[in-house]
Amino acid sequence: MRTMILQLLAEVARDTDTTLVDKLDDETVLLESGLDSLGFAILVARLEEECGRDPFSEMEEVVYPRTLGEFISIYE
Amino acid sequence: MSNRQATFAECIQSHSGTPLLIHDKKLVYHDTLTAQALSLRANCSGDSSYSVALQTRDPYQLILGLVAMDGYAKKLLILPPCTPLETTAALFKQEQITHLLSQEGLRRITDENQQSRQDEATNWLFLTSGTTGDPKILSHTFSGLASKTASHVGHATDLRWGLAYQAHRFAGIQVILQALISGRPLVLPRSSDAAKMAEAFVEHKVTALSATPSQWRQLLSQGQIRQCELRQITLGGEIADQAILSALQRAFPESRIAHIYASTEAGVGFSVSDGLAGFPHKWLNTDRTVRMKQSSRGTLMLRGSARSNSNAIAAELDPEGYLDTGDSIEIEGERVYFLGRATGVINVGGNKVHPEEVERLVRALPGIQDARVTGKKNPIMGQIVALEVEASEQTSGDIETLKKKIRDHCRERLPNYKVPAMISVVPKLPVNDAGKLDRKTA
Repeated sequence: MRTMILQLLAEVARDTDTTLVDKLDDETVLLESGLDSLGFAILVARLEEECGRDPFSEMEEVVYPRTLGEFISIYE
Repeated sequence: MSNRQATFAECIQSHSGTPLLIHDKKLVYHDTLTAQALSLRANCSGDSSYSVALQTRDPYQLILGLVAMDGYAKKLLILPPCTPLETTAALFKQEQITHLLSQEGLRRITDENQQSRQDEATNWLFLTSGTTGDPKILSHTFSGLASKTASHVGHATDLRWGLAYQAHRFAGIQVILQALISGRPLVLPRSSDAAKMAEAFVEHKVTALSATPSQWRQLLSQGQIRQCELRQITLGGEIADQAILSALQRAFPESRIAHIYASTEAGVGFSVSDGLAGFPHKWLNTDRTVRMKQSSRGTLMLRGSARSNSNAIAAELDPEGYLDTGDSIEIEGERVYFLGRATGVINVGGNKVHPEEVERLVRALPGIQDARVTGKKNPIMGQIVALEVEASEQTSGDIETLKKKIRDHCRERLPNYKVPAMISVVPKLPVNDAGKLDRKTA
């Protein structure tokens, strides 16, 4: 899952003409990664397309992730 | 004696003891703002009558322009900073704009002599995207706008507001007026970046904040905003889903949370503060300030207490005086939920996208037979733009190249939120009996 997320993240960055920060890890704050919130909206939609689910709509209490690690853990 | 209404500047004069704005870590008092406004207006003193366009990213400059010009300019045209040049040029001509206030300062844009100054109130002109995507102008006066905010201000004068909306938006102006008229300092963030915004709001102890659901999601995800002791939370500009309302309740249990539905065209709206998405079913067809019913095509119809005096809007009213808002609603048990625009207009985090505009652009590309643009529901931005294209026969098989071509083409010509976020190539787009692109199946 992690690999797929990172791969799609790179794809979305390429498609939206965005440069990502050099070092992406679990501690990277999403909105400081280079992608803006529209970029993350696209990533969530692409992930839904690839793996058939949108965990945000499945969550009883929606958490808006702050870091990349938190984002990935929502999918794992 | 004239029966002039109080101007914006006169209205804030009484608050001489408290700071009006907190901007760039500095407190701005009434006397500073007035002095700057006077010197700004002095630039127009050679003209007997003038109309000013305000087009700036800087909320402080916009507020200064409003304070300086209200009551003095004939018209104030409030423009989004990213308005295309040809649109601004056409509007300047149409509204006989004489001066432009932008980040480069105030400059005169015409040499013609103007007619003499009249005693009437300054018209504040706002751009709204009409049904076709062409800009439409809504005209208000300061006293009209102020009287609408007064009712909200009454019970909550001890709140400290932060400005999260862009200042040029109708919702942004409402927050500005609400704070300044009540004499409570308004905190202006240095940028629209969620992190910088949260930093300013926390540092200056904001207790009341109004933003779009998408902005709230960003602010919550940013985290720092939780340090604000918010007592009043307002959501507007797009549909507030249950997820964001519940997340805000958990983050700010002490706060009063309201989501606003407003129809700019009808000039009326209402707020819902029971913590649930949508609004109670019993609000339909009952005697409230704003009467509501569902149209036969499933959209919400509104009738305000004050009749609109605009002929264009009067012509659209049904025999009972209701205006069709064009917003589709769905009744589910005891609740009425908003589904989105009946015309298919997409709302990306509070920004409107007309499918036709994007479709037209894509169809202009070689290799494209037809295109259909719809809104795809999204937990982060509310909706995003999804595009389906039918490739023409001679287009070679490489779908990725075609998608890239479409993306590049759109990105060069459209703001980011309008660029198709999802692109799929389909064998055939559905067409309805009338031979039109079928939007209902989208």
